[in-house]
Amino acid sequence: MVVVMYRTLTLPVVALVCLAASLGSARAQDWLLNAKDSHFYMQTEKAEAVIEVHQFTGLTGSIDKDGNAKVTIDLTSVASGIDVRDVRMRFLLFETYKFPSAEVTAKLDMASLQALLSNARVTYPLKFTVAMHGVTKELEAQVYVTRLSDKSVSVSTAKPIIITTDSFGLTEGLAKLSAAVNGTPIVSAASITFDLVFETGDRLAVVQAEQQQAARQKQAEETRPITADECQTRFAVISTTGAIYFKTGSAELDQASAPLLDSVADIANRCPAVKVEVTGHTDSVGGAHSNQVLSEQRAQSVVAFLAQHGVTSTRVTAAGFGDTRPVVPNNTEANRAKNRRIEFRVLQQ
Amino acid sequence: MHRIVMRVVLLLAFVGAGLASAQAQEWRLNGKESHFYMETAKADSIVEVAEFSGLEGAISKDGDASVKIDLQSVASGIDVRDTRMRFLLFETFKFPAAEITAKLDMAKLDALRTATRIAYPLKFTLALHGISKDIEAPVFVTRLNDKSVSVTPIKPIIVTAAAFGMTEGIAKLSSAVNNTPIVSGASITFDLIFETP
Repeated sequence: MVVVMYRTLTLPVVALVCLAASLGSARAQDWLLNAKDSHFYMQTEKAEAVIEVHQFTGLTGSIDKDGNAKVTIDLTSVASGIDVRDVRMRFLLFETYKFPSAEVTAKLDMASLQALLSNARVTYPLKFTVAMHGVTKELEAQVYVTRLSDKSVSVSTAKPIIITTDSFGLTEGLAKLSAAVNGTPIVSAASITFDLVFETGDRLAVVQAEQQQAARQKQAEETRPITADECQTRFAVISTTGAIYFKTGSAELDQASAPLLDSVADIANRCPAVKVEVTGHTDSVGGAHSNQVLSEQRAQSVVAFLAQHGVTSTRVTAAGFGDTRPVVPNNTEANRAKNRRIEFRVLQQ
Repeated sequence: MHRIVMRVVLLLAFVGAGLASAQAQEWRLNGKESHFYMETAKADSIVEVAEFSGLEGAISKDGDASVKIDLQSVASGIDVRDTRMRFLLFETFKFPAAEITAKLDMAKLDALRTATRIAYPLKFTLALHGISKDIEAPVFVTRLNDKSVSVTPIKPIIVTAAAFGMTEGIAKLSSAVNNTPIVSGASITFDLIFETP
């Protein structure tokens, strides 16, 4: 009996000694985020009745020896369960063609995390910096740090973290999102909850291998052929971004248009069987004839850009409609800006 | 060194004993250490998180779990808002508490003997405003030490006002704040700490 008891206890003792050793030297270790076991959710509300929870699966992160923590959230990985909704969030809200990811950085006080040597969980007042959509903000939130094993900790929100769209310059994107769903109001704030698992020791190799596999999957997902319907969904959303720019009264593309047009070329190249129509539209300022000519020339400029990026011009037709097809009345500058646009469409075969 | 090892062994013997008899133990909710939040949105722009501090609960030897949420304890940080939620939304004068009940599969929770945390597919019944509904939500159960566990949802749990006959209450709440639109649903997050003697 004593022998059996001794044997069963030996293993846990070894484990404990290991744990003590690794936590004792926690200051001297690197930790990597395990994306497979981590969860990151964004909750949004629309139409005064619908609450939706979206998950971001593209997570990478690390904490170094000195407590410098960094987590990158791939905004293109937003998954609400509905493709068109994801496409809208990417192109209209986050503008992932310009700002593909959000980054969270923090400097952790490793000394205060030493409490994890004796407690499975500590409440930690996390001060962190969020860089998203070209804006950087300092935030503070209570998190739980839980020791899951001697090689793994979880960092999770004690309470949802509220983020407003105006603090990250996302108000205009939200308006575009709302317009895309027939003007359904969308609450201009979201709440974030997460549970991030960081691992160290011999788990590092495993996490690194998983990271590489995730990167390959992302690559495969981003280059997979898409159907004509998926192509049309993306073109319809992209047509409302308002992110193709020309000099006033000119058909010369502004450099700032490149990020979005690169996405258009990429999408067109992933559905090589479909024919694409590019149409130009102007506001009502100026004469009808000159607007007509300008809209045709602008569409041609876009076709030329696409041709330079692998979309053969035999697949693309260009047309101009001048000021004859406004999407909103030409009565304010903001509306006129919406009417000056390039639209993309899949032509039915 | 020897003394430290002895202490560790003793401590471990305790942990072993505590967990081994987890199935045959009763657990009580520690209301002071637990958190229960309700997140709501209004006016197309404001997201608010209110906390319920009045929590009581227990898990029996057989895995019968119940948690009672004192709806009068709702605390948003603004007294008039709390009063409105109590009287107009929850109607606490008629329905003072919400109750969560669940039958836990204690065999599944046995995995906590070796793992610090497990994901558990929680099925529970929520009784609120005179209506009972079955809800399913995955939760993390974390062993904090040999005498205490935490139960927390992996993802916020969405509850609609319509499911609990509270649409009318939302309308009253809205008219109390100059007809500011209020999203007719809420999301719930919690961290419930259960302890055993």
